[in-house]
Amino acid sequence: MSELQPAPRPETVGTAESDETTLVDVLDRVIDRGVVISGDVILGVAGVDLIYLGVRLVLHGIDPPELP
Amino acid sequence: MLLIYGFVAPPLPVDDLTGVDGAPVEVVGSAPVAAVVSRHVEVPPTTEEHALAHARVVAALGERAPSLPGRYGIVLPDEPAVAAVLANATESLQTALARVGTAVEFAVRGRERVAVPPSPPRDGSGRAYLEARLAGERAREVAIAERHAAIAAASEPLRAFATEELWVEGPLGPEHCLLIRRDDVAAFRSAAASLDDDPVVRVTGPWPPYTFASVTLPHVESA
Repeated sequence: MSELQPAPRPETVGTAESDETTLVDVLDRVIDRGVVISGDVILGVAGVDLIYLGVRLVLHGIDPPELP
Repeated sequence: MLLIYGFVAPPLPVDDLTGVDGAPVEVVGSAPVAAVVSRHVEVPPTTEEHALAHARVVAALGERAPSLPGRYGIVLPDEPAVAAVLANATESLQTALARVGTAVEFAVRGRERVAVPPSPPRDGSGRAYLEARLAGERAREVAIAERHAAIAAASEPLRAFATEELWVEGPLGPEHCLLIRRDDVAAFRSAAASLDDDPVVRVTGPWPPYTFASVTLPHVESA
């Protein structure tokens, strides 16, 4: 049952992909998917957002949100 | 306080696992569903390193037993609070555990992000600016539809391996997520290898089944 490589950075199927893109895949799942409890104490949400934004900025062409 | 990593059907040995900040990982709760946690004096700062440490624990759990990944950042004050959440959601957690089991997820997505049109310059008339914005949005909608179609075509032969499938909006655009039983992973990978050289679409995984465990549990106050 354990033929799988442990996460957090699984291989992509196919040719190698940049670490940055795979990192985005990992963090998107860790931060934005999975079981959540409503009304729980969430680690500084702003901090999570900052990580997420920072990872997005790593990718070419991913723009920061437009400031008013 | 207790940082939650996921939910499992105990007993499950986790003594060898360390989580965020190197904290020991333990199982809190009893059958039929328990939470996997680490203890912290203060809420750990939110860093990429901590998020990845969390992901490692989640992945290790999935390789040992049926488990549901928890979203990073759930902290409950103490064991009674965990017990209250578990007691209030036992049925939904059990159902989700039985559904997901030890399966993993793969995602079929674009190689690059769907292009976002640049903002038009603000030095023209208001009408010209709005028309340019509208044209940009329409172009993006077309690009998303084309990406969606490319992913759907690519993933069509892979769907036969999946026990469940979900379309979600990921950081690079639409993703077609497929839940694959571990026994079927090798065959899935062989089939997905035909996409190795696809210029538009890529298959990623295996991941813990985060997408298929996107469940919101009600919070309850502990006594």
